[in-house]
Amino acid sequence: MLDPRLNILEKRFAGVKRVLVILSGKGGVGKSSCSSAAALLLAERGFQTGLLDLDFQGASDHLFLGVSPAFPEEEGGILPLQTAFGLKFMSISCFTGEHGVPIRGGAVTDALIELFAVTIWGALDVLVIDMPPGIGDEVLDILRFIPDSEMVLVTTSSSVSESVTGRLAYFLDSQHVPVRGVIINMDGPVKGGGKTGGTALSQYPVLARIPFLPGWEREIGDPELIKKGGFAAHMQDVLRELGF
Amino acid sequence: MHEWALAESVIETVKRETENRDVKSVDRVIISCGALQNIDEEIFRTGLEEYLTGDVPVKLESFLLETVPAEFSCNRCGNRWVLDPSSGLTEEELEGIHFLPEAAHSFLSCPECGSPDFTVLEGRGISIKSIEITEKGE
Repeated sequence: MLDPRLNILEKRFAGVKRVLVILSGKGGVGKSSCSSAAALLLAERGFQTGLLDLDFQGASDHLFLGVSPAFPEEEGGILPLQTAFGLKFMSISCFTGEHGVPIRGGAVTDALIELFAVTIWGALDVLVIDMPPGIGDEVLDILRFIPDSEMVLVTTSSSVSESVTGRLAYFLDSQHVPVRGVIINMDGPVKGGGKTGGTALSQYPVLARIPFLPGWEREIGDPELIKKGGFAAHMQDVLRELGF
Repeated sequence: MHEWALAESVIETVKRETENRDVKSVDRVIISCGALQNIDEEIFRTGLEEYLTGDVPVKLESFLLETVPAEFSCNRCGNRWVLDPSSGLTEEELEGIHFLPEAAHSFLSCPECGSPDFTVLEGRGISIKSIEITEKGE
């Protein structure tokens, strides 16, 4: 049996100039916050931008964007949802709503391939991909299908987060996949120190140190508030470091 | 119409499978259509026609579609079952699965033990079962 979807993937991403993959070894460090804010800021600045939430089991980007997931329109495939500032958005939540998605390895890859094969992104300056934590199927599939992606790591300043995310960085290095830099989110008094020495990520450029911002929770779901808020100001620094 | 994206992938596959061969004609392409995804075969065929270009010597009539029942195996209790068309799923749930078959894990469960932890053994979506070619000189 041949899987025909694999042969159309190159065409689906042919119009995408840059792919930023936001990932971490740990969960809850702010990947979705960073992904959503970055995508909104890029779109608001006039870049043709897409945001793809690949965290199938914890999809949340629609909550940051304030979007009610809906079945996409169809034209030669499925069209990403049009959200604030013209940002194009795709997520499994479009098909599963607020239901949990209990899927295993092979099914994760199948779902990823399906989304990649049928989503018509068109011409994009940048596609931001929000990843689930860890070094699982999704990371392996990104390396397989979009090998020119740019990796941006997110961690907190906890030595535990740095250690686990360091393993992800080491893995990417072993595959000769360049890491563009690290966002240190919810940065606190312990600046990378602690039991593991905090050196796991020290070789990578720090794109931003974002303090814990109590006001961020109020901004979630409102792109206009996000655009003007403190978290976005730090993400502008990240985007500048990345050449935007 | 999202079937068109899948049809496009089938045409691209036939193109790639034939490009380094001295092909006189592509005589038959058998496509398995899994009952879980339940594609609209008419829309799919329209998509095949849309993306058929002159660079692959294949006619629309050469594409044969075979429906494959969706069969599942429960990873928790070992039960195997076939998708019942009158499965009790809502239209919205069926539509979600139609777009993305893995959405089935959000809406279906083992009829024996109720677990959503199942493997789709066959009948998930679109795959190409065979491509029959006549080469020049044959």
